[in-house]
Amino acid sequence: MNFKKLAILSAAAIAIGATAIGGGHSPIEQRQAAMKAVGGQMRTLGGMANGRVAFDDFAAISALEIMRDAAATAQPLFPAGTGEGFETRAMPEIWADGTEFDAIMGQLIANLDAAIAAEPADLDSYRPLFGAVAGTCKSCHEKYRAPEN
Amino acid sequence: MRLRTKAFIGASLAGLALWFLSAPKTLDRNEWQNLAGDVARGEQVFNIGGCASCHMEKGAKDDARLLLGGGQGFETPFGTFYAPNISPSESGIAGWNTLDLGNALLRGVSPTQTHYYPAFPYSSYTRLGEQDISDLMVYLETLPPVEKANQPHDIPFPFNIRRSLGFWKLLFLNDAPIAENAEPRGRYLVEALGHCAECHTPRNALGGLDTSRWLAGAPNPEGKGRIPNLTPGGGLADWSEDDIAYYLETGFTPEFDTAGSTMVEVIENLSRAVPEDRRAIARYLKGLPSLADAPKP
Repeated sequence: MNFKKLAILSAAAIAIGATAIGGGHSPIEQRQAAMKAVGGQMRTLGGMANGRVAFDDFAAISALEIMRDAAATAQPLFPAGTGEGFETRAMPEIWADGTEFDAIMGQLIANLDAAIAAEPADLDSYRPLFGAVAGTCKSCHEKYRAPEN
Repeated sequence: MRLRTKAFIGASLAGLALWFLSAPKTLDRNEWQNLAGDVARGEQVFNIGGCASCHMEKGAKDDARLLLGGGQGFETPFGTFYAPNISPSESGIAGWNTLDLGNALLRGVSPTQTHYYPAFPYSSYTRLGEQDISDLMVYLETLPPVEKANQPHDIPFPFNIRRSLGFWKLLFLNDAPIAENAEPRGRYLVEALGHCAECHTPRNALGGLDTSRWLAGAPNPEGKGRIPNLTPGGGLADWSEDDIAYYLETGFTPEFDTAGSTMVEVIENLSRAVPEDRRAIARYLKGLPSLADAPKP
């Protein structure tokens, strides 16, 4: 293992650790920390997809793995009653629409799993996998996230 | 002459003046006779103008975006407005000519000479070009007719008196450019056709745009959160022109966060514009005077 890979792995380990311990006690604080970890990887992953950052298969897969774990952490952290009275952009439709929100979160995790399993070795195979992941982020935010305050 | 008679005559003259001032003012018919429209260009006007976002069924996708039967409700401090049918059907705009569309867009006046409410963003559209309106007219005529009756607006007194909009227009209708030194195409797209200011600029108590805070962000009239500041003094400070153009095409911010709420529709529309137009919008925004975010409420 060269130094670069070691550095990326360490960063990944720290990020996962931070997700687990840095989230405070309430489900809202925990899910916000987890979503931040998800978003943090998107900059790397998106930059590779649109050519701003050079594609690196190892860095891409590492970022996808962090994102997958953070998404799985966030999924159960939207219990009923956590939509109002807090600093949250989560919209009441999350709970009003029954299981749809949970299904989109499940889809995100499934798309991440698929991208990791495919082990994309070049940009052409990576782009559609990233597109599917980013599309799930987008479709969920469109419906279930309020504008920033 | 007795005082009471004088007062009566004075009041009558004042009433007449008010009646005249509030009357719907229409365009000169003769200037509008020789414009030929182009369907392909009209489709661009339609997309950048965002007509579908309000006049389609809420949340419609793909081909359903082109069914413009209206009916979406818009809650405002003045009441709830319902978008009308603008499909080429009897309940819609069948039988309209370019002059009718021009009066609607530039003057906010219907073919039956009544004022439209400015929930229809004609206070931006007053700056539209006549050729764009001709192109839009021929494009709208190609869309599928939808037979669906218009739902009346739900507006309390006194805002339900349409004639009073004549005074509102005297106060707030203005077809002069705001960013005088901006490049014309970007300015046209942002200030007129794209009507960005209708959401991104705060309003005064009468619902007129506060141009001293041009595009500096505003409360979200439809609920949670704020509509972002687009000047270089806000969250876009670190965005490049490329970043803005990419966002308008894909909905992804430089951090690869995603657009939310009503901006999703705007990006759906702008992703269909030509790349040079998205760049022109980006250049315009980067050139705006820098205004800080308003303090949080």
